[in-house]
Amino acid sequence: MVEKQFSKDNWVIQWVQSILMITIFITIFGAAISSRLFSVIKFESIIHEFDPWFNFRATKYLVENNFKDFLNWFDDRTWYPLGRVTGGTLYPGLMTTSAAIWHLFRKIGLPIDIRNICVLFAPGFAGFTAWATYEFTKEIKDSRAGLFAAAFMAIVPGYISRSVAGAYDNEAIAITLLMVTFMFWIKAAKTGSILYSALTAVFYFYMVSAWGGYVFITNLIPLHIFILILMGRYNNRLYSAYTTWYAIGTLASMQIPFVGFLPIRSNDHMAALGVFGLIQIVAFGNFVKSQVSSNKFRAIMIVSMIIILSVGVIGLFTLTYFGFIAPWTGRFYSLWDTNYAKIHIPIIASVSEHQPVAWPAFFFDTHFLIWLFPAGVFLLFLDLKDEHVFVIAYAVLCSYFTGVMIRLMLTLTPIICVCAAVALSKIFDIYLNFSDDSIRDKTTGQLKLGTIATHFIVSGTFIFYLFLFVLHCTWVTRNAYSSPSVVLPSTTRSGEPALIDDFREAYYWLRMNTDEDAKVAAWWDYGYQIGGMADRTTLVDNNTWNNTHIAIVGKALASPEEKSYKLLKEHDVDYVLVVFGGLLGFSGDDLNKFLWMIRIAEGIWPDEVSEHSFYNDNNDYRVDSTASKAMRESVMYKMSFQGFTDIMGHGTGQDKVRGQTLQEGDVLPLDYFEEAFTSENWLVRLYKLKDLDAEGRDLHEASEFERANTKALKRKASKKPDLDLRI
Amino acid sequence: MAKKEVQVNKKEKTTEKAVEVPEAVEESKPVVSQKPINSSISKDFSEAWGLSMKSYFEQVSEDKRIMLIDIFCLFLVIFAALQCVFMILIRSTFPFNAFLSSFILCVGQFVLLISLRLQLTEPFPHISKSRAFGEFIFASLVLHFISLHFIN
Amino acid sequence: MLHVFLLLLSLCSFIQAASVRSSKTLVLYDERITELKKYFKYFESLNSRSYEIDYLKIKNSTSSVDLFENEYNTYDNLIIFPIKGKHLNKLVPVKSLLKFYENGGDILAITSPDAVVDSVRLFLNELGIYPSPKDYRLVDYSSKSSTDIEISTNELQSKVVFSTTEDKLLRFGNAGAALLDNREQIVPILRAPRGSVTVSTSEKKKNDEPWTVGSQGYLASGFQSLINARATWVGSQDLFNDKNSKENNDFVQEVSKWTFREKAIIKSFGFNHKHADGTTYARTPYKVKDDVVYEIGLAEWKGDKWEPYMADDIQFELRLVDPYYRLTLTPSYIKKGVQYYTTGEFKLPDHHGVYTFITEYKRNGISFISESDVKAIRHLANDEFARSFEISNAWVYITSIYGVIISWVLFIFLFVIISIQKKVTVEKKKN
Repeated sequence: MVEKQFSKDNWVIQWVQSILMITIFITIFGAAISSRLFSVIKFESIIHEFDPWFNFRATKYLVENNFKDFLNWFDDRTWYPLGRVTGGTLYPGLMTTSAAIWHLFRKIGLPIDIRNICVLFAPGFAGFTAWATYEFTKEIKDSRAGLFAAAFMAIVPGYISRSVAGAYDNEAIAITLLMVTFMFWIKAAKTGSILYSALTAVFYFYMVSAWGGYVFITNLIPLHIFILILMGRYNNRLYSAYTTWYAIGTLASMQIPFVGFLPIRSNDHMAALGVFGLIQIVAFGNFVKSQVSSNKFRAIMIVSMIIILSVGVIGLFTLTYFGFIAPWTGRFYSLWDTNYAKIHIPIIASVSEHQPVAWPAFFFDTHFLIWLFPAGVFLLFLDLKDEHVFVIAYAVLCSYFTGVMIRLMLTLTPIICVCAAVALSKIFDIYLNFSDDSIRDKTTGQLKLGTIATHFIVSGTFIFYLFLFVLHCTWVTRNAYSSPSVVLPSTTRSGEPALIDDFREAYYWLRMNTDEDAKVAAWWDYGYQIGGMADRTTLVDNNTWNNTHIAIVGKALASPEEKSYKLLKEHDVDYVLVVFGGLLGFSGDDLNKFLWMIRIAEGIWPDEVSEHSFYNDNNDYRVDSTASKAMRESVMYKMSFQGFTDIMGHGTGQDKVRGQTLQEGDVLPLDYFEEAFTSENWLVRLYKLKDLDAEGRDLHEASEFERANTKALKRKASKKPDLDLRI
Repeated sequence: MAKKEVQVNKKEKTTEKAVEVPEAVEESKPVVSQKPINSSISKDFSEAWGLSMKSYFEQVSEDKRIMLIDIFCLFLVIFAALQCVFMILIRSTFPFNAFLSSFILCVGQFVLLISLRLQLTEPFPHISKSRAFGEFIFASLVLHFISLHFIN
Repeated sequence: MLHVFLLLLSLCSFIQAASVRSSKTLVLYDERITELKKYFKYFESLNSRSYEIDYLKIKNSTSSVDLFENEYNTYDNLIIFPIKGKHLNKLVPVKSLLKFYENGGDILAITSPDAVVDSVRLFLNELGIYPSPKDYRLVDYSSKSSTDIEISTNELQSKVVFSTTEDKLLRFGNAGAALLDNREQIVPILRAPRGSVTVSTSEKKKNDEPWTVGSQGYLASGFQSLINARATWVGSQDLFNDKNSKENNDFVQEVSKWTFREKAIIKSFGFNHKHADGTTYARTPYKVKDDVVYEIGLAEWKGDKWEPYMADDIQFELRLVDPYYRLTLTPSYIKKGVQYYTTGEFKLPDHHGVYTFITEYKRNGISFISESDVKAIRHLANDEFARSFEISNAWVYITSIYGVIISWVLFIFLFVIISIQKKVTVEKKKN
């Protein structure tokens, strides 16, 4: 009777549990999606930032043409005149997924505009990330920790920052695939099932098609196996899991044109190959070991290991030396040596996302999870099973890299959620345990008031922390991560919110008022946006694959007008776009990035452009009357400040960003360019290149002629001209 | 459970045989330490080799499928070696994708077979032998598909 | 009286027009220096080629010269005789002259040592022609009369403008010379003799350095702008005088014809390029190493109609910042008075990019031709490479792959058989 009752209760409990679980998941999905919609509500459904504009343009191309055309797309509207073979230089996973979703919706009778699909793509996949984190943590600890991890993952700001509605970037789908791949990997490593391992490989392939950060998985999984082998925990399940994953995954990853033969050739992937070879040897050794006594085996093992290690290392170095294997890329070096990039590869160093992280950023992005994180790692240490080694390796490795590059905060966030969930779940396991076992004294059967009190206090505190966490996440999302960065929010003098829409204003002017084939030269930051919103051919864009071409634009902006005009005319440029924040106080303008332009140009033409010449005599970077000659003659300076001193009418202009005042005579007039458009708050300025003078004069002389009065001209003409002899 | 028993059995067998050997080693130990280390290690190697071969044949006689797997593995190794020889002979890797495709197919298939073999001799917990076989077929098909796509 | 006479003259002009465009002409002159009736023969020749000429006397009382209507020129051609004083500078400032010229108007400017008006002189300076100022005259010590200049036709510089086989003497009379800049758009017409020098005749500046020395001086020079508008300067008005017309007539006619676009005018009648087999770019965009044909049609204006233009130095360029190809065009066929040139079949470069198909024909004195077209040349698509079964090396790999797959199928087959056998034996054992 009691048993039946018991089983019946069990059945009810299970039923209640599953209902609860489903409800929790629905709310997690709902939270994940809704907290990412702030920017759509505050502004509009628009693609944010810079990179997503290119992805959007590529997706549009994909839905308008078929997949084969997309794979072979030669983009002649970027990187003029080189063009870009986009099929082989992008990760197609994101675009194909969006296009597939678009087709799917059309088939079921809901034609949704591709822009809306792209904008709402990231929130949609965020829910799946939460689910994958749940499954992952379930393997690590249990489903209770899994639910915590899923809840954290859904709203943690570190992940939201790259997956709000409108952030249509590779990371939107990459993090989901990362967690799914890891989930399958842990399952494979625990059970040794070939099926899970094959699924890991398939999702790894999907991940390779979506994000360049797949190298992280390529190195983390071998590292996991390697550590386990070093710990002496080798077993056949690991062999089965790893080798299946490596064989299928490597072959699959080479199908992506962008990756090509990298998995065989580049040093980033050699660790995986090394561990592959190592595990074969270890498996064989294990087999031998099971036949022979341990003493003898030790000797054999040591000798063989030494031979094999030395052969492997020598082989690796020889192959790298002879060029069969590419050495480590610059990006990889910059992860270890933070100063490497600044000296050798200014382009990588200039990207703001590649800067090191400030300490408060960790707290800002993860709130109280950041101090639960080490606690969780420690708890996993106490319970050191195979899967826990993976989590620990991931946590340690990723923490180091995040300290170097703020962009990698995104990959650290999942594991922070997982470890914090483990720690929190363990806490709640003990302190929310109000069952008879813990609160009743075993001998007397009385309630232990002290225990009950501590239970209440501790769980209450942590529930309060959780509440604070939700508040913090929502606040951060709303205020910090929901701005499209194409439209800038600000307040008017009277305190009312106002929008600064200069970028779109300028891009639409370009779109409506210029030739379809007009070519626009601007700094590479704006390339994707110009291509996406203004639909004009650009010279350089955010892809930054050709450093020399970017240096050409940098040189054109840093040189005096005559040189710049000649260089730009060679490249058939019609318009130049500069961003100027002096009137508004917008500190991300081109004059602040000017030093990077100079550095990049100097890297290619050190005799013609020199950073040193742009500092004045006191070695300051000034833009007022004390600016150096090279600075005042540069096209960037003239274009930024053209007409600036006349705005207020009294001949001086206050540059709000650099905090300096300009006088009327500081800004020399432009001879080779003419102003085409300046946006409302002077944020974006467009200049048109003047046509070659019909009379064959130097445009500088032509402009001087225009400006001169007749008296000056007569004076000039009364002398005999100084001409070369005619032959 | 079964795995442990098998291991215990094997250990028993080896310890039975090893009982004789350690004595011999202990007796000759002082002599060995004066002789160069190489000979003792080579002796260990040959012993280990002999023991491995013995247990290998036992395994094979137990289950014919293991031998089938091993024969197939041998074929794969021959195929892979032939391709490498061919590539070295003609001294060019063109077309590299074809070479990689077939080579990795051989290696991948080999590795899958070894995994299957390991599961047949000592099944993993929660995975029955037939399920292992089913998974093997799935993974092999995926591998073949990708390989054919790669060589187009 | 004179005006009526000239009006009648213009009414009896022939209907046939000789310039490639309409010829409304304005003549500006100063009656103190220029007696218009002494230039009757010159204007008659212009009228015979149906020029509509308006004569405007520049006096202190002239109120305005209407060169423009809104932003367009009211006249096509402008002839300016030497004008004394500063009045013209207010009526036609140098910037208006430049604007007139940049709008496509042709200008024939004549100066003389008696009068070099500032706006004309400054305008010519902008073109790179520096005529000598007032009171500077050319003195030729190598000829019989040092002040009544006569130039041999050997000093002619431009065959396009005027060329003759006779060895004549051109009578310039009272002339000034100019210095010329080294610009390519300048078309020098007549060079000063080697023994000549341009010196000041005024008392104050007698000892200043000469304006031109020897062959550095020029007596007539043309200029062609990038929009094919032409301007000519001549250093003496005596050149056009009726009394010298016997010697000068041919020269003067040809110079006028050149300046007012009746000769040395060529035009491109369109170009196209397509695949060698006739498919257009619009149907099949170009990819690397395609065979492509380019052709362009050029014709020359022969006073009343267009006729095929023959030349052997027209070059076609395929450019990506720098030229990848330079091919000399060969004549292929003539259609409707236009000579078409072709490059023949050529292979596009091996590198993808956005290329410019450009033909530029810029010869001194002839209209400039520049036709360009920007087209993208794409890379090979993924299925335009050789398939693996077409590459002999790959057969080994293909056979090995299929070998593996077939033996795998065999393996599965045998495996299953052995499993079934095993099951049967186990069951037998159990039983």
